[in-house]
Amino acid sequence: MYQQLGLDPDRVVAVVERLEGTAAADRPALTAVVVGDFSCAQRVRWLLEQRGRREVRGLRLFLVERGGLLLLQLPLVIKQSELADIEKLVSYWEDCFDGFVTGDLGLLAWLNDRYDSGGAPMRLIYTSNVVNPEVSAWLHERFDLWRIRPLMHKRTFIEEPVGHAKDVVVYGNMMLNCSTFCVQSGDLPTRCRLSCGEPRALTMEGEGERVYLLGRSLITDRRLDLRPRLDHIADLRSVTLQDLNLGLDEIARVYQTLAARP
Amino acid sequence: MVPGGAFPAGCLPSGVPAARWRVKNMGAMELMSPAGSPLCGRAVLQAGADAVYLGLRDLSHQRDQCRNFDAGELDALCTQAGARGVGVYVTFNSSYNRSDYAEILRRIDELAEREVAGVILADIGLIRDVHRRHPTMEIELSVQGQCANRRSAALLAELGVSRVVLDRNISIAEARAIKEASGLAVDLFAFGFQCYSQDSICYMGDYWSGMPCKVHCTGRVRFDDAPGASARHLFMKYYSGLRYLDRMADAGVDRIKLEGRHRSSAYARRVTAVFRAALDHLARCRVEGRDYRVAPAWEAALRTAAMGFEVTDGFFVDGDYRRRVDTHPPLESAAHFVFDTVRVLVESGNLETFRTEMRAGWDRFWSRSDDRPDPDRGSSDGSFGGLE
Repeated sequence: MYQQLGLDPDRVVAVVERLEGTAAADRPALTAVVVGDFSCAQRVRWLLEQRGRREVRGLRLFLVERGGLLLLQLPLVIKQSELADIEKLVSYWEDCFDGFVTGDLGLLAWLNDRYDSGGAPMRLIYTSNVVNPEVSAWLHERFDLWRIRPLMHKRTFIEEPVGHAKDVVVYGNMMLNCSTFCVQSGDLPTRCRLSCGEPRALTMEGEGERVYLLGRSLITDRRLDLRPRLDHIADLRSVTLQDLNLGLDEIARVYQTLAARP
Repeated sequence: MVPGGAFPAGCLPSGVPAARWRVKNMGAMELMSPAGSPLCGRAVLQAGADAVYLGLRDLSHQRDQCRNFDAGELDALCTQAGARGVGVYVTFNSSYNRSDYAEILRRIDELAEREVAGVILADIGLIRDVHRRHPTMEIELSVQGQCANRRSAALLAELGVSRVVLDRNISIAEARAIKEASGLAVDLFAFGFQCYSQDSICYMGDYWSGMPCKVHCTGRVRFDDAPGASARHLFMKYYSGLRYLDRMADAGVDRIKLEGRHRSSAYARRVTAVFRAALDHLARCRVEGRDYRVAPAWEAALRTAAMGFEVTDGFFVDGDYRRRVDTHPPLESAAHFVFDTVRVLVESGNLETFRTEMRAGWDRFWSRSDDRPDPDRGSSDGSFGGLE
């Protein structure tokens, strides 16, 4: 899978076409593309409204023709005051997507009930600290999940067997944190000017490392690379390249090494 | 509780302090305090906590850097707390992989035989298993469990959770909505460091230091799009709900919780005493039909506890953390520090305990600058140092 920390259909098309042109492209280049934001409800809405339904639908059609899916990343935790807005947003945009990614159990329950009752088939990915089979057993009983995506607290956690198909972010810009409030707007939506709509680069002086402020989260410039550990990750069904500022050549190179695996 | 109202005339038994009577008999807001060590546990009991939470030693959880409690110390604290009618809660507020899971479950089974009031859990699998094995044991969802809306709360109630600690960024109005929709008891953190991240979704500590939290978010940052501007702190604030206790009570909040298992007994005592006084005052105000007002001395004491950080109103009202910023008078703080130091020295009984207590809370700040990553390391394998 390819996850964009934003929504840029032109770039998605460029990535897919580039991957189709690689030597490893004897099978569908991508299972799914995920767009959106995992921290900020305002930014998710802004990203979608910037593009409009026509453009997003066009992107989905482009992917579906290639055997791929388009999923929307929603915030990992949703505050009570933002829950109704997110549900409205999903209702309005659902016909443009094949599924959703979230870490919020309450929203997941709502999504599951909504699409379990005869609606269009939707792929749901739950992303949270799922590190033992007992958690995934309950998730499996309660929800119709497509994938579980464990969070990146510890590498050993990601490698733990959970008895359910897992997706793991194995390469790219890594999420360092995710907040439910905004350091820039003071968390008042009326004050939000989407100044972080486009990533703002900053350097953590003590750590000497550049990171990006994106929505309500911090993202590394440095690449996470779990490819050497792939054989140790139990229940792995798919891997994700997470892209904030990856180069096309870089994506193609990583893709080739992943696609060359059995 | 009678939200927003007063007691009916003549309902108080004679000779019983109004506030305590209210807490014990009318279900008014309780005060839950941290105990990172036995010394700390005794301090918060003396300062008036209605409930205490702590961790067991040698187990993997969020506060491994605390001294925590062994079985004997836990029993001793339970005895002292029981004599005062105070509940003791044991935290297992992490996610546990296979190698730890069975051991954690075994330790919880042991707790069921002890005089603890309940357990504080974050792992959903553990919640389900504990509820199945001990259906009468009170299970409180840790703030690490990420309950921020009514749908999540309803789902947790299905699993056997009876009480939730809500996210620090949840407003009082949101807490009311969650409580009314789920029927769960709700706890709100009322004072502490305003963590920049969502609980359990922050990897800065693991990434840069190999520890759960080294408060990297308090470091200075420089924005690339403001090259001339001086470096500033990314986020460095305390929050206090002291001014909003009356609104919390009106919203039906069941318990206010104080952070600080990793802090010293002096801190825990001071903050507990302030909120004890404020809650008792609130109860008296309700009985007498007066408005709740915050005493300046309480706020001064909390400013000291904030270790020089700005104290804000948090997100309790309208989610605007910038509403109020209290500065930190250095002389006042120095006086409190000297007083606390002497008191902890006397109570510690030996120099080693004293040293541990006084270092509590500062370790995260002291050692951060020594943990810089290798700048030549181009990529990360996600092992984040010391992780295996």
